[in-house]
Amino acid sequence: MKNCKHSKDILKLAYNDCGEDRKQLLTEHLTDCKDCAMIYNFHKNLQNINTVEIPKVSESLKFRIFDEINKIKEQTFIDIAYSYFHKKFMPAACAVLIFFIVGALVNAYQFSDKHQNILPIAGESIELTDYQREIITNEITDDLIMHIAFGDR
Amino acid sequence: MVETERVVIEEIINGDTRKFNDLVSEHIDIVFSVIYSYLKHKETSEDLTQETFIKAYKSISNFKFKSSFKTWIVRIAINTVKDYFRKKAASKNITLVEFPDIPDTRDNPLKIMENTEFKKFLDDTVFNMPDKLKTVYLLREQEKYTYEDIGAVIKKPIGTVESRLFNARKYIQQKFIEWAGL
Repeated sequence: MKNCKHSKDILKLAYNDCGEDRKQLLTEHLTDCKDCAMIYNFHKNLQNINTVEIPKVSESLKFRIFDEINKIKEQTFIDIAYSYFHKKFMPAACAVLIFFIVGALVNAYQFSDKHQNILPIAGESIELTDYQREIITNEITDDLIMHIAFGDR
Repeated sequence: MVETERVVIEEIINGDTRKFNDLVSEHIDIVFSVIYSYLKHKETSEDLTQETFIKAYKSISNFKFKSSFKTWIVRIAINTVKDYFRKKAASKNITLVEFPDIPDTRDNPLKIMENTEFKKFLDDTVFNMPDKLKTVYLLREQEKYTYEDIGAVIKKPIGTVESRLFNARKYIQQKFIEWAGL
């Protein structure tokens, strides 16, 4: 069977999907081209054949569906509460837990030695030695002044 | 969407779930028909019809009134069938379709179409067609849906519907030429 250049349009013609201007030309072409005529008739016949024979649906199916839906309706309050808990409360509880964990981590960092040894000065973070931190944070007493002046550190 | 259908659905959403039975009675045939077109097995099609309505009942509060209930329920039915095939493929329990023998009609090739063998050939060809083409083809040829309605079911523009339908018809034509040895 040869592949005619009109075969694509012939298919559209068979399903009335081509424009009026092409219709006339293609209809005339059908008398000249045996292969296109065969394709056209194939699709015309195909439209008259039920693709799939559908059996009748069982009468009981409708009632089976009604029963199933009734069972869903009769779901107890506890079931609904339980599913609500799972759907709504669990994510909220997880969010709160994560919030506390993150909070605790931030707190722990702020009070950690490493953090306390860093001093922001003029936009820069200066890391202090333990000795420097002690001087900064302790109350200025005479002892401390003497210690700074004559201490061996 | 028909106004009465909107009222019925709103009543169901607001708690009058008995009204859902009316929707089941009205649409059970079309849902079964669409599912059966894919499966060609009555009992399984009935099970999936039931599953479709239960899914629809459980998610009716998500119905947005953008399409008719029929379009919506047919979309759920097609997705239910796809899920069924996905599960079946996962369990590697796929049946291969064998094409029937070709009857001898050398004088007129299209005489084949009158034979029961052709009916079997057509059934099997549509059954084996790629899913995207099959859905559009069955909705158009079997259920006589308009292009607009098919577009609403598969959530694609009319141009896509037209091109898939053309490809589906071309697919059947090609398979027929191969099968009949033309």
